[in-house]
Amino acid sequence: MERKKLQTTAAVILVSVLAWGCASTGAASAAPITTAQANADYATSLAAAKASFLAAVKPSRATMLDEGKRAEAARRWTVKTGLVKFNAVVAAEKALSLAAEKTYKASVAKSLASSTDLTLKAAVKTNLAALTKATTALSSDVKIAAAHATFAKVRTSAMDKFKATLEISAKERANTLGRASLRYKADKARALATLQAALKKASK
Amino acid sequence: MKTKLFGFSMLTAISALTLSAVAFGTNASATDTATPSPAPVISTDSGANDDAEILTLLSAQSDVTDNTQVVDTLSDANKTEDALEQAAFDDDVKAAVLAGDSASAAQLTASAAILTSIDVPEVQAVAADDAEAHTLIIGLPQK
Repeated sequence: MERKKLQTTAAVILVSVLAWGCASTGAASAAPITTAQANADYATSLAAAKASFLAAVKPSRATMLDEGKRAEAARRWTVKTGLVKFNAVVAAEKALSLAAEKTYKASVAKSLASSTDLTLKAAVKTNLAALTKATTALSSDVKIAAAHATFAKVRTSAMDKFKATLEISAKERANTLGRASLRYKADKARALATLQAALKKASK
Repeated sequence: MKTKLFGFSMLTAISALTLSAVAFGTNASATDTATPSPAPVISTDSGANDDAEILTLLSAQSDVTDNTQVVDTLSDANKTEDALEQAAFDDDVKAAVLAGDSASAAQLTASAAILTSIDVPEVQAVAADDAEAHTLIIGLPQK
């Protein structure tokens, strides 16, 4: 009987000691954080959310800009190459007219130097007629017409490609921005909920 | 003796329980007394202005100069060449006018117009494309 009582007493003591330990630990872990700490935690969470948002968004902008500039450089190179080819065709076709203009100019100079020489005056007229004929022919030059058409295609195609690249880049960027915005809003909402819960606890 | 021993045991147990309760109470009251109650600073944020805030965040990243680039109109060389050709014909027209030969002056003017207008559609189209492309690059989000 005595032993039983002793055992009971020991058990009570053990339970008490355990209760002490649990009470101390439990009180420490369940202790609500202060309002100031809750606000500070909230501010920290918000700062982290903003930093995360910007870290996600900023590179996407740089990428988009790089892609846009590369696409523009490619467009310009294509157009320049096409224009050089166009100019080459036009220059070849214009050569006769430009030569005729020089011949005409020289004949005018000669005629002015010998104003009484009718042959020279006639040469001026002949050269002017040749010049006029050559330049008029340019208006219906098939090679120039083909060059116009070819270059127009090159130019249009290059511009379309450039715009398409920009559009793809912009969509990718918009997706990144959208995802980052959603995450930012969620992070903020979570931080706010945590803050409100902490404030509620602190006010009890 | 037995009764005393039992009494002592019980006393010890009650003391331990009391001490536990006191310890719990102390912890709890220590927490309460250590909790200042400043007004929540940012807790009024309902999240309604998230989109505006995002724009503000993006604006902080704005760097307009990133989008600028040197634009040399590809067709500038064509314009220069056309101008040189026009100048050559202008001399011819001037001479014809001085000589009182208005018919020749008119022919020369017409020839000059043909020669210098061949690439005008290309010059204009290229310049327009350059301007549009530049506008598109400039128009890329600056944020």
